[in-house]
Amino acid sequence: MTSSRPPRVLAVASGGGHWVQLLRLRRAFDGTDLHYASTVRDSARQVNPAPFHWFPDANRDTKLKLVLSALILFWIILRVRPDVVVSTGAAGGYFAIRFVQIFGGRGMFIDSIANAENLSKAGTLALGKADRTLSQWPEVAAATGAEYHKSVL
Amino acid sequence: MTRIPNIFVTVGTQLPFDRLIGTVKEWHFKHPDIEICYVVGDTKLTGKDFGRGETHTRLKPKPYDQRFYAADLIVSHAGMGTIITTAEVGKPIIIMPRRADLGEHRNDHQLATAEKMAHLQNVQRVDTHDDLIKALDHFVQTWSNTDAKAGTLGSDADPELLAAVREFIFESRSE
Repeated sequence: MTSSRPPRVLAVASGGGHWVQLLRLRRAFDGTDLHYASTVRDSARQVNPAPFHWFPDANRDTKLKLVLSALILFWIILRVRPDVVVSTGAAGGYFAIRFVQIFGGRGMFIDSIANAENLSKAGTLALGKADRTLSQWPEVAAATGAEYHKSVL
Repeated sequence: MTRIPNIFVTVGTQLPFDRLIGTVKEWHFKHPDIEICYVVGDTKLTGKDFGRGETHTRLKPKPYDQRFYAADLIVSHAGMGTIITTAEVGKPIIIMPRRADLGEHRNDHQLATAEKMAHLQNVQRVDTHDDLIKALDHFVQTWSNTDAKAGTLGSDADPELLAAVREFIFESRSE
């Protein structure tokens, strides 16, 4: 691939703590063609003028919403066609990574710093599927085979 | 001139946390002069427990931010979003982790979060009703209107994590 254009990145996180952690990675996205996706529409103003895409929040307790969330993320991936997905969780980030891989893109899943003793459900699913899966805690990384490269703090 | 401190209490958007809200409301009755704003989620508390203070089930980001940043103290569940945001600006926060055995969350990850985050300068962790009451009393007794900040965290992740993310994004291009 020639590098005539900057890589297109879709940065994905659920609202709340996942989103706050994603924003702390902003510096890593310098010089990319950056899009964001999250579950709180109002978050768009925090990343303006970067394009913002909304998807519905869901967790494993709400199966139907989980399916809807996956469908909408598939649609976002189709429209944005990112080269790379970077996510700080949770379920939506895992979906986005699996979908971008269908189209030849790559995905990095960074498990939330809230998971200090085990990987989250989404992190466990990402392990071995995402191109890279990171834990923010060395003990968790060592116990699960995830990578450790410090944290968002 | 001293001003009376104001407090913002939040339990996040996903699940209620009535043990936390009920305790602060109870304390509030003995300190009616203190302004406290509550974001309580789908609470089951009613009646006398709800007698005082501006109380919302949920708050939109803009009014939420207004009250959050104006507060002298945050009282919260051990959610990373709230903890990180307060640490970024050096705002004092009391965190109470949710417990799965009391039906407060799906699992006990907040206990681990609370333990790991208690080392941040602006964070105080409490576990019980009595500890929370004591921490609130202590805050009011020691609070001074100096706007002194606890050490702030800055707005960026650790450089090693930033580098790892950046390397991943650009790796296919350097091959």
